[in-house]
Amino acid sequence: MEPERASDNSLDIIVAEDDTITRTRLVSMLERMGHQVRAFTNGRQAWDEFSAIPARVVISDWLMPEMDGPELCAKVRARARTDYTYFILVTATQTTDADYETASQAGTDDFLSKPLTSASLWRRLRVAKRILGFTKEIGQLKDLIPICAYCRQIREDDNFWSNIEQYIQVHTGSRFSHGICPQCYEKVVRDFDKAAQAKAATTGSAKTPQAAPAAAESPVGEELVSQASHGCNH
Amino acid sequence: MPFSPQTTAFPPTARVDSAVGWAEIEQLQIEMPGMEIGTLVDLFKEETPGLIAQMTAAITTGNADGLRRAAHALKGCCANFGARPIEALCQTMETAARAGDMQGASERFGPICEELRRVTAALEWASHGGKR
Repeated sequence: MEPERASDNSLDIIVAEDDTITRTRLVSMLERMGHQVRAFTNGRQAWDEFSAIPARVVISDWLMPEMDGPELCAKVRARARTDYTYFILVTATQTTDADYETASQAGTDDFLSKPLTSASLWRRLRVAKRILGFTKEIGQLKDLIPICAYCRQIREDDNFWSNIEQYIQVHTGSRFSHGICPQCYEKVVRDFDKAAQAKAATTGSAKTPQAAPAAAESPVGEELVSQASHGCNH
Repeated sequence: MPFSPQTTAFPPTARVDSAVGWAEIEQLQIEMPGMEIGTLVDLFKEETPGLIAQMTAAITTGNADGLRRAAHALKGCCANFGARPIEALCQTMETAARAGDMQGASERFGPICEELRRVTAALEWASHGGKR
C-alpha cells in the first residue's frame, strides 16, 4: 500500500512507546507517511507534552512505566478546551475483553495490534483523518457562529452571508418545514387587526375589521394564516 | 553468570533458525528502507540485558508486578522480529506473574534466557545479511 506523503495530509502525532525498537519502527513509518511525530518513552512524558502542546492523534502503547496507555487517554480526554484527539492504543496479543472495556471507557478510539505494519497503521490513520474532519465540522457548528444582530444572517468562512436555514442545511444536511408558532400567530393576527382598523379609519368605514379579510389582502399574510390554521408545512 | 546476548552462531544452526520470524524481518527491511537491520539488532542487544536484569531483580525481591512488566516488555521487543517461541515464554511468565504465581513465573526465567540467546544469534546472522 502506498503511504500518503502529501503535506496537506500530514497529521500531528504524539507517540508513547517504551520499547525502543517498536518506537523507532513506528516513528520511521509515520515519518515516511509524511506526518509530524513527537515520540516519548512513557505515558507521563507524552502527557506532559500533550498538556503543553496537544496533538490531533496519539498512538500509545498499553503497558508503560510511569503512566499506561488508558490513563494517558483519560487525561487527554479530560483536558479542557482541546480539539478532539484521535487516540489509538497499541495492543499486544492476549488482550482480554476486560482490557478492551477499560480502554474503551477511557476514551480510546481504535486499537492496533503488535507487531505493527505500515498497512495497518495507514488504515487507522485514514479513519482518524475522516473522524477528525467530522469533528472539525461539528466544532464549526458548535463554536461561536458570527450572526448579524439585525437580519440573523450568518457569515461563512468566505465572508459570504447566508440565512440561518441555508447555513444549517449546508452544514448538517437538515431540511426545514415552515409553519408558524402560536405566539407568532397571535402577533400576526394582532398586527393584521391593527392594520385593518387603521385602514378602516382612513376610509371612514364603521364596520369592525376581521382578521381574515385583512390578511387576505396581503399574499404573505394570507399564506401565514393559512398555514397556521391548517398546520400546513411545505 | 550475568546474561550476555553476545552469544553468536554463524551461520545459524537449525536450532537457532526457528527462533525468529524471517518473514517479519524481511517486512522490517521493507518498511524501514533507510535503516539497516543491524541498527535495530543493536538496539535489541542494548535493550534486552536491562530487561533480563529487571526480571532477575523482580524474582529476587518477589515483585510480581515488576516481573509482569519486564516479561511484557521483552515480549513486545521480541515481537518486532517475529520471535514466537520467546514471546510464548514471556506470555506464560506474564500471565503467571499477573496471577501472583511467582513460582510459576520464575520457572520460565531459565528458558527465557536460553531462548533469548537463540534469538540474538539469529538476529546477528540477519544483521550480517543472512537469511533463512
